[in-house]
Amino acid sequence: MDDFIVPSSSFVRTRASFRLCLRMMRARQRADMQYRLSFALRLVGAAGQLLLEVAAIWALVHRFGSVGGWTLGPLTFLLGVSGFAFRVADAFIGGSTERCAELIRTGRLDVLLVRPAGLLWQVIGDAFAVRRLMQLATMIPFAIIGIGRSGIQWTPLRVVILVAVIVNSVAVFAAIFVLVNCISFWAPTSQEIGNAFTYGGAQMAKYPIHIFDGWVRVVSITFIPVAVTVYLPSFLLFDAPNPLGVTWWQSSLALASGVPLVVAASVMWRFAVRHYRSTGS
Amino acid sequence: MSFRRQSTYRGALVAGTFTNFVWGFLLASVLRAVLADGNVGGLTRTTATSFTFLAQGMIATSRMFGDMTLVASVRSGDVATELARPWDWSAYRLSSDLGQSLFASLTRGTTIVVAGWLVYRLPRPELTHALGFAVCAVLAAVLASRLWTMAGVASFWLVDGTGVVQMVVGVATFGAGLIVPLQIYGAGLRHVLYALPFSGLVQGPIDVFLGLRSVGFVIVHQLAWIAVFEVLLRLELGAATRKLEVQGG
Repeated sequence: MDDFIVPSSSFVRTRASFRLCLRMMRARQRADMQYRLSFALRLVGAAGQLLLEVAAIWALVHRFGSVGGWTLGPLTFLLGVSGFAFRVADAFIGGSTERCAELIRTGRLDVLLVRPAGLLWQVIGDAFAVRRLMQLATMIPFAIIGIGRSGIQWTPLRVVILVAVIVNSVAVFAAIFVLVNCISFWAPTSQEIGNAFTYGGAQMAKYPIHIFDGWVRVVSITFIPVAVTVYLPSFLLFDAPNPLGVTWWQSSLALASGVPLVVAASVMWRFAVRHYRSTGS
Repeated sequence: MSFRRQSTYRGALVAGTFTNFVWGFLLASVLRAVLADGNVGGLTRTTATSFTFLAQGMIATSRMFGDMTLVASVRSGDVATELARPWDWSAYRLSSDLGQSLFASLTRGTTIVVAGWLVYRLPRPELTHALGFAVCAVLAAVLASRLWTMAGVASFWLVDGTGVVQMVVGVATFGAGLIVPLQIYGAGLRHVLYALPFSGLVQGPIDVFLGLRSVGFVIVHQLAWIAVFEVLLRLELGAATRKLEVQGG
């Protein structure tokens, strides 16, 4: 543990926090694997549940051939890429921030706070679950099929845009996870409300946003900004019906929205942690 | 007793209801968009919307998120005390489960359905359909109790049965028509899913409510599977109690 004590610069501190995070992940994974059969069944259970869920939506889309004027190619792209990005955010940030409520209720957060390492890193390490990695892996084929069937006319610029879409989507989903779960610091018993916004948001991101009612669309670009993940930038990649009249600069703006959101999330997180006053027990 | 135990968690109840409502609302929006003026196996814009909110309500009745209490009780060893008591354990689980289902149905289940009806101004059902639905919903709760107990007893062999329950949750959610109504699937898969027990948890009662299937048919399907599950549960329990090693000291 020597390397975690008295960090001299912010770079060294971050590196030390990161190494502690990896160590905690490893410990968590070893603990999980104590009962091998149970562990394997849990992995299969988690992956199977997600697989059936995506398969059902896939069946729905195929049954009708188009949703809101979008054909199978663009729909598969939307479903695969947004689902994949969400699971990346969920595996590394989502599951951990959800656990905050529990850490606060049980007072275990105090233990993490007194360690001289970044709190978010520790929370991530503490709540790491191989099961979520498995769910992430489950979404990879869907993302690949989605990209393959999207009908994108490939140019070098579009490859760059696709990478940016994925990176930006992960950042946006991660920021939403952190922002929503900061609620736990004020109301640690109402964590499930957050799920409506995080998982509900991911659900919304799987469909062309224009099929929703006006006020839901407003929510999807402001309060729970999932429209910016794949839907808005996708107009830069392929021609699909665009009833909302999204312009190229709006798409480009959406592509960069992860930056302010991540900044907002980290400010909010720091504010929430400073607000924290333990359970007092 | 379990009815009263449930009523102590008000915060979680409100949060859960809200989450279910958001979920129903999103699926309803999607189904309304794809159905437009179409009709798929009796589902129209209106009936599909009704379906969605009833399905979110039935989550409460059939406890579609699974039941981890038995898994926890096997882990802690408490289950040994339960089994040693001088009563029929299977019947005890049933009564406890029905208490939970009743409480959840009357609170979050009813709230979601009423909210859906108000938001979309959905039509009132025919009285006979509503009564048929009520009977099927009770049977769905019984079926759910047998299903979750069976899934939970599997943890007697595993120490931690979370994975088994999760797997059953996944399959049941899919087969019950909770992710999308079973009418959406192609003929082959649809017939298989209708025949499986899971359709009796959500899809069957709702079809009766909407007048898409006859009440007699659904009741027979549910009763048949309840009988099968009861037999399987007894067999499983017999084998499990011989196997059980009590955890902890």
